[in-house]
Amino acid sequence: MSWIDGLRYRIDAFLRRGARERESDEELHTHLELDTAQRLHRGASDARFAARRRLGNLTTIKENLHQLGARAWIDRLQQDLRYAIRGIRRSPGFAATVIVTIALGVGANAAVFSFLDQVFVRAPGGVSRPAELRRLYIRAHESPRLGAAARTFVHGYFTYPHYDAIRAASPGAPIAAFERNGVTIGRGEATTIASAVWVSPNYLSVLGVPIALGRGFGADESRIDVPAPVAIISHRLWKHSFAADSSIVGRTIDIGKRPVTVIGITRAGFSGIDIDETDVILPLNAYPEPPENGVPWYKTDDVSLTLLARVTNSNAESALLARSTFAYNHTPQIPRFSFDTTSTLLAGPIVQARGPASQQREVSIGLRVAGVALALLLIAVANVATLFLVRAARQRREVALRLALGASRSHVYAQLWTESAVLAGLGSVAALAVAWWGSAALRTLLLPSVSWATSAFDVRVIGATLVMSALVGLVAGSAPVMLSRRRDVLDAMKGGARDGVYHRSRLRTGLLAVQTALSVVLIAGAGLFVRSLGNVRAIEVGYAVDSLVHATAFIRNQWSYEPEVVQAIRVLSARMASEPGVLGATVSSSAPMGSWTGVAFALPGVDTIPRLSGDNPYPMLNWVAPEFFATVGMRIVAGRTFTPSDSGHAIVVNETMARTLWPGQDPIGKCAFPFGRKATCSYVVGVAANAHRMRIIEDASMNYFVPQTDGMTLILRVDPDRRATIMTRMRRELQSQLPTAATVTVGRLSDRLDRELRPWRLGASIFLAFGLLAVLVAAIGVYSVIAYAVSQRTREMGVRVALGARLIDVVRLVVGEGVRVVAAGVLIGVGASLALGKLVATLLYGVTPRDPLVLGAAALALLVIGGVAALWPALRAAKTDPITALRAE
Amino acid sequence: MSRMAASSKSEYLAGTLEMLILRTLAVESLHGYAIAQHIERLSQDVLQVEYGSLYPALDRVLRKGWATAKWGQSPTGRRARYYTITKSGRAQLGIKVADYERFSRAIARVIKAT
Repeated sequence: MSWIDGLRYRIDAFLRRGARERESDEELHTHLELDTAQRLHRGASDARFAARRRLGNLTTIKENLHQLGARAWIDRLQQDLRYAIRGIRRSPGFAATVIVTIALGVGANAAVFSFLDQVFVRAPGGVSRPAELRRLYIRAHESPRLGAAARTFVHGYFTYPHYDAIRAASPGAPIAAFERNGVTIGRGEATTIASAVWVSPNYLSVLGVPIALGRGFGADESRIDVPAPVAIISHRLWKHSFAADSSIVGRTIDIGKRPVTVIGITRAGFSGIDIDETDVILPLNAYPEPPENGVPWYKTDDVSLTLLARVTNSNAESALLARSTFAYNHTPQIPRFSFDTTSTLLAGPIVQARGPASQQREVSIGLRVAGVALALLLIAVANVATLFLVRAARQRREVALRLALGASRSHVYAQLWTESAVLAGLGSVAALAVAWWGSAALRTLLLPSVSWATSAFDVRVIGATLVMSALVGLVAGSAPVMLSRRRDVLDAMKGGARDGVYHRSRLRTGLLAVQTALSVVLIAGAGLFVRSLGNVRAIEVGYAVDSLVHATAFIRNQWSYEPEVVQAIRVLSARMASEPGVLGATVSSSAPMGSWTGVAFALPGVDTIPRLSGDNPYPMLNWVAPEFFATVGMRIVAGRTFTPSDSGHAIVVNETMARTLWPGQDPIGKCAFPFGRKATCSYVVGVAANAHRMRIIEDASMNYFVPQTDGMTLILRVDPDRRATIMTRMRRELQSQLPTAATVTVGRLSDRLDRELRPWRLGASIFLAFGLLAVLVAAIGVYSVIAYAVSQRTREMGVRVALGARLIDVVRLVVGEGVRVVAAGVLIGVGASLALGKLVATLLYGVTPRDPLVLGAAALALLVIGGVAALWPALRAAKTDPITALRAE
Repeated sequence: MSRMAASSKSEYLAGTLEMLILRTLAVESLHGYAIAQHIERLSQDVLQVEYGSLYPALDRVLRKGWATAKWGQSPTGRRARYYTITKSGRAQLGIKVADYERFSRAIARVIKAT
């Protein structure tokens, strides 16, 4: 067969590369000798010369011969690489700029990719066929009420009676329920905290997670009314905390301060279905919610569960949803704050972030950050392309020379590509470093409370980084290649001989304009976020934020009233009175902007009291001592605070409540039933100024206060500088009075508000960081283009000056172009900002996306920076003596 | 045949050269110079073989497995590389010759048409 012979030859040629070269040398020389001999035989006088001429260029022939070999290709690659590296070392500034630009652009994008991949895309590990799993949600409809329009919202919280009814409607269907929370493991010194889920008995089987060691929950552990002290732990926890000791199965350990027997270990790879890791699986019947008035939690709507289902196809899914919707709407339950609604049940994917319930704010920011990172990548590509173009323009002479010396066009292109590839390769290594740091940083910034189940920097991120770097190198590297196509060799050589010809390039101008426009967009975005942050920080929450610290504790659970704690708080209050810096003290049932209690508030002669529109429709109460209002800085706008003569039948309402329940009337002295309809009234004795209920940004709420002399929480108003010392002392004192099993919490209001401000600060800092990066990169682009233009036109400038032009005019000539491009880019950028504004509208506060101040400032900033970047090289060149300029190459 | 010329023309001419080489080798195994001389002599110097393209063409023939090469001694005692046609080379020659004859008949028909 021909191909066998051919192959044999090729292999032989590949292996004996060097020898082959010598052989063809010899063959050609033999040819020459034979031809010379023949000509001599025929009587030619210049036989040797004629033979030589007839054969042609030996070098070219040999080059052609060896070009056909595979080995030649490798050789050429080696040669190109060496040449590229040499070229890079000769211009370290250019190389460094390209590498840094690629590192920033690609690295930032890889970090964002990692975050979004793990929050939005990746299915939880360890479960089987995750595509079949669904989370259930409720679309609740709220009919129009008291000035509020009808509202529809989606949430994922079911009560146990709902779960029971849904399960009964589809007997045998794989529907599971769970609730997450933290638990302590161990006791005393060795206590650690882990994340746990309380699950229905079929949780693991619905998810398809097998048990590696031990067993799952048995039938006798699956009754909701009989708490079973058993637990299943994850493989990861088993390895970390129990050193993979298989004797842990069957052993009893303390979980949640109670003895629990470990009965099984799940297979490796499973760590819950949220992005948080979940390591302890407990039966639902062991959920630590105490019964209220003798009614266990699973008969009330006190506890919210998440429901999961496995569906095999869309028909099964719709049937399940239909049955479940019916069951949900017909579940008998305690009608406390039930919406008079008919709800529909929805199914969403197992990845929570893709579900229909409203997204966390931080995740929304994450998505916007992705857009911004993409813009930065575009700028980086444009910048790198510009740098390559400028460099290629500088190298025109060299390229022309090479072409004239006989290099093929494809060879020259290959060499250009190699240089881009080397730079892209180095850039990708740097990008990996940026991505590694950035993905961890993004996690900490956006979702710090999550204890992630997967690592931030894994194979997928590395792959994404390398692919993106390759793309950047490809796109940017093709710019000079495309341009050099139109280069006429002779023209280039002639022009290059004097370096006095400056070729305008529409591509270069276009790239600059694009970079500038994108930078404007990013800076404008940053400005909007910074203003939003400022607005949010300026919100008055109604308390003396910087002066308040609080202390509380619980022994068994944080919801019930524990007399030991109350006594300890009383003692603490007495002790702290003498502490320097304490300006006031009071007790209440909860910390400022902490928890409130909702009970059935009623008015005489009114069936249902009016509800507010927004997030806080119902009134909520706090038990407080009489000096509460003065201590926390809440003004009494009408009436007074509590006095002992009220004998407990007094309430203080906030302004919103007064306006809503008694519109146009004086609420003082009005009768109300703060704990539901009773025989005797409580009377309104005062109206307090509005203060925020729990969040820094929230809708208006009806808050009221009921007197009590003792409380579970001590609130101190202190000198802000002494907060740390006072908090330490409070913790120490309180811990000393309570049993070691008690959990003591000491905090300050400013911390709580800081947590609330975090997403705003986040948005501002991330956008600002990206914006500044973008501006830096764009400025480098402008600078390098103008510097090139200047260097090309140095001679021209020298001539003009020698002929009598003023320096300022010459500079203006050269720089004017650059500034015009920047101005055009700024205009485009402003237009783009206006168009894209609505993408970030929901994330802003107190400022519209079209804010003229912000846009104007961004445009001005870019104009100034662009102007400086354009002016700098021109001024530097303008200082040179015209004679020197004329003489120089 | 300029190296810088467009592809199709040089490909056509290269194919023809390969055909002539194979035809020459079908008669006897020769070294490169002798092949060129043979073609020129038989064509009565009408076909001037471009020596610069000869050796790349020989290399192509070797790569395609239509001939093999071996170093040997020329009649004058020089060391030279002798090319020998293979079976597949002969088969290829037959195809190429048939193609060429069909091609020239077609041209003849066009020229002779009235």
